[in-house]
Amino acid sequence: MNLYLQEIKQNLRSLAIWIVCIVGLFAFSMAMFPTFSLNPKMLNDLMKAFPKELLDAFGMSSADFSKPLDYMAYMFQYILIAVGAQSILLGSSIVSREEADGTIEFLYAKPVTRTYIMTSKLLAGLTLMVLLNAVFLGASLAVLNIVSTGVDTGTVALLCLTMLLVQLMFFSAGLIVSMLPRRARRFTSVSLGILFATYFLGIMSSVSESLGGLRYVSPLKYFDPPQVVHTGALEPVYLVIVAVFVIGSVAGSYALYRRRDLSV
Amino acid sequence: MRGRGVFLMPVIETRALKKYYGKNRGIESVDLSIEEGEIFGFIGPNGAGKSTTIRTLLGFIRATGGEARIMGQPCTDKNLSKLKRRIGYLPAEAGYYPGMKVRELLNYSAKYYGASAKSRINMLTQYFELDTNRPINALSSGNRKKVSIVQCLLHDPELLILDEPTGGLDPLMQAKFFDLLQEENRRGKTIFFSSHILSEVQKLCQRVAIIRDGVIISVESMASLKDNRYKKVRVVVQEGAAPVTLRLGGAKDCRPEGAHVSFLYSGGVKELIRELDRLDVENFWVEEPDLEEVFMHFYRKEGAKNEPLPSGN
Repeated sequence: MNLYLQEIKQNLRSLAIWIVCIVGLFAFSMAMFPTFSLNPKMLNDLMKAFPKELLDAFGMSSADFSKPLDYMAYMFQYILIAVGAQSILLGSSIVSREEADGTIEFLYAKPVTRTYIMTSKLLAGLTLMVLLNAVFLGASLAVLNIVSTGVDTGTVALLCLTMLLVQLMFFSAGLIVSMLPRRARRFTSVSLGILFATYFLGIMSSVSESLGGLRYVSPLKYFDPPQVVHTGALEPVYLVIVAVFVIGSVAGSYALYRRRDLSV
Repeated sequence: MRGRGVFLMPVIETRALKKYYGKNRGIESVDLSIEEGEIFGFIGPNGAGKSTTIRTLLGFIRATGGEARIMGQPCTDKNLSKLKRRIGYLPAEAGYYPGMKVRELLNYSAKYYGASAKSRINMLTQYFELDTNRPINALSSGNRKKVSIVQCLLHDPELLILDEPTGGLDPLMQAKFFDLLQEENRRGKTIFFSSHILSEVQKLCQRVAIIRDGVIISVESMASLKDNRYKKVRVVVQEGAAPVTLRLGGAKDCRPEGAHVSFLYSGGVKELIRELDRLDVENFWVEEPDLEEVFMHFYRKEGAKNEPLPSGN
């Protein structure tokens, strides 16, 4: 409990900044919704001018921007990138930061096992992610009810559930990367590299049928927001992939961390 | 009852302890046996393997081979997590959590041990004249060291493992720290004191292990080290005399510098006088060498393996 609370405390300020940015980004983009919804023809005409591949790439091909949830789903793709960045950075730093900051000998001198350290940090990470998710859910419902009426709360909650799955996915990816035996002290560049690589692979997967398989390595596309809004369902195969990947990475991280040498 | 010699199980015991970082040597083979109630020095040059030994003992890194036990228990993660309630560790260098004040860190540290640890914070910070309201990042290196010392002592551990403990402390604070260590030792604490500064070890320790290139080359009592049979001889010969070549068994480390020659001597006195007579000596001094010079022999690589320790037998 001690380490768990300490970890929450250490990350709270940074989380607050992320929340302000993400909610701000969302609120800002939703603020433009009334303009679009009043002139749906203008926007839809504009869209027709773009090639289909481009619309596919950015998830706009099936969107009707006069509907608030269609509009939100489009914006939500970008929210997911930001949330993914926060998650992978959190995952890659939550354990490794002690080594980077030189506090690790302090922690290792305490009467705790490696398993306790890992579990405390994982629970703290999970708490922080759920916190971000819950604040976003609350804030997005509030914003939607300002710019529109009769918003389907269930669909918004479903979008936030997919966000949590993306958070878990990137958090565990960051975690396992930070457990690899390497001398690098900061994993920021590797983490962001992974995030953007999977993002671009996801774009490619939606542009071309033949590259459709790339979607399996692009968590941002597992639960494509426009599709989630239209179907109201999550594809089971990706739920399985998320579950397997998260459990595998976490189990692997425990195993690696228990045998990890303090790097000096 | 606790006390020297009553409880014979070593507090720290290692056998052929070995650690390689990939192909790089950390330690080759470390054998140590530290008894309860001892102040045990661990001395060697930088890179000899002192910190690696300590980190392996405490489970920060995993041994490549050999065995380590603390208070009779093998140093596994599970055992150590319980033993660490009874161990105070002072790292050579410590980073701190960004933005934390001294008091916050100490309170956080104390939470791992319980209420009695918290109650010792005030006593210790007052003893070391530490301002607990300051952020740790803003402290001088000496004051940071004090924070480390306090957090190492606050749970009143039975075994103290100190890695280069005096770095950054001013001489006055160092003296206070040593007083406290001696007091703790009188109360029955065992202290494992790693350092590359001989005079510190000399002041505190009852026994000392010397490590070089990852191997313990000697374990000696401080008394036997001091009671060595070497003499340090310095000679000034007549100006214009032929360059000095000693023909003297038992002389070593001969350093001629112009008309001055100094060497360490362990042979008979008569032979020395005869040789000095032959050398056309103008002046000479015979002194006890300080420990520093004795240790230099261990640190020097060539031939050192065959040299006996200058102990009094």
